[in-house]
Amino acid sequence: MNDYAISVIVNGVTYERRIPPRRSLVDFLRDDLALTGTHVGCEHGICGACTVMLDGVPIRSCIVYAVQADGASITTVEGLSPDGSTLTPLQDAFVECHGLQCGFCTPGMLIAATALLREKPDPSADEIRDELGGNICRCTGYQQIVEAVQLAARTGGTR
Amino acid sequence: MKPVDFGYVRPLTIADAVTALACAQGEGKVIAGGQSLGPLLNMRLVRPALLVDVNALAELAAIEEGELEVRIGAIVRQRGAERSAVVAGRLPLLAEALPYIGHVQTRNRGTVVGSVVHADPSAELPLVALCLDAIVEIVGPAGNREASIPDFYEGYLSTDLAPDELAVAVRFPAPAPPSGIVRAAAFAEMARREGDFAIVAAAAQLDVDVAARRVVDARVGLTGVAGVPLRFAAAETALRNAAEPPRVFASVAETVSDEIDPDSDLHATAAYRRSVARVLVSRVLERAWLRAFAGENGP
Repeated sequence: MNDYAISVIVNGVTYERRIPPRRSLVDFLRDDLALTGTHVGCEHGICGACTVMLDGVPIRSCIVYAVQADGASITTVEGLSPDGSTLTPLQDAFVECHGLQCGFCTPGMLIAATALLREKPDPSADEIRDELGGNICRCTGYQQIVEAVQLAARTGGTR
Repeated sequence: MKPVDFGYVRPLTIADAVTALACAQGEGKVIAGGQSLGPLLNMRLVRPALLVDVNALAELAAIEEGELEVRIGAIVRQRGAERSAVVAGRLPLLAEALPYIGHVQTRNRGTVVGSVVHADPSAELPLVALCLDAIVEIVGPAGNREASIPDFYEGYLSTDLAPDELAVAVRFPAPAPPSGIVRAAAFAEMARREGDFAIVAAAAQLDVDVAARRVVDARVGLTGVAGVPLRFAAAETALRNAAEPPRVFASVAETVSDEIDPDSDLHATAAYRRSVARVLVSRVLERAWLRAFAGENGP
């Protein structure tokens, strides 16, 4: 099939590429743009590893096709920190609380939790678990992840 | 796990979308949120030649409140409906069901109309559409038509929507209850994990005459127990006829669980589904009844 020309803003940078319509957004980010911070797990919308923000809201980038993101603005884990070199309070809190072990789910967790903290700066543990319920972690048992989000809420949220 | 190669168009008008579907000669597929279609594509369970992306049809992005109904356009996200004051005020059953669908990240993308039209037998919104007598607005090469639920549902993942037709909106009847009547709803679901497909889900909407402690209108339904969502007319009649409704909740739930004939699968036997159905029906009836008196989620 014919390739499709798209223009997408990712972490504030505009990219113009030609892609086949069947390319998932996560494959586009990783393979076309070399932004490998976003992980690809189940490829059918279950695990949450590929969560990115599309026009400000978290979505699964494995079941959105890159062609559908034409004209949209995307934030990946690489774009969370404004200067690209320091960590956000949420990322610091994940380090502090051991909110990760292998790190595979972490980019998706960070995007989902960042979205939560923007909306609810002081979420309860239940609200955190509800929001992150779509992100599967096989290492931590989730406890430290919930604690990390709570710590981040106390230390400055997403900024 | 990659989909087969497909063509793609993103029309700017409904007419162009219908033309694109017609040109695809049955090999076209509409994509809105893609939260059900995406997995099916990636697993190659569907292999369309053309995807018709309706996300640029701005006229389908609205929740419109009418005097007697609420109309939800085809690209209204589930999350948008979940946060809508109109939905909360006029469609309490829909408001109750929405948080059970998937996760925040999938509701940010998935649409109300897409879920109604996808007709997954364990999904929440087909059950809500059934309980509320919803109407699907359809545009096709022959013009506009409407399909009422349940006639719209033909079986497992099957509707009477033709391959060259586009569902542009779903209308949910929502007449204001008469004075003295409180409308209250409840939804309950058993799933293996939070956000997973329902093994069984139950819905109830009661219009309650709070002074007389009587039910004047009842909607009771289940999903996950057949190829299509089911409503239970005998149960609804029993609730309307009951002099003291809470006393019949248990027997109504028992009748409903006797009436269904669910299949067994890897996750639940038929007997287990029947048992869960009984518990959930009883639970949603109690919850809706109490909410009518608490003034919660009613108009």
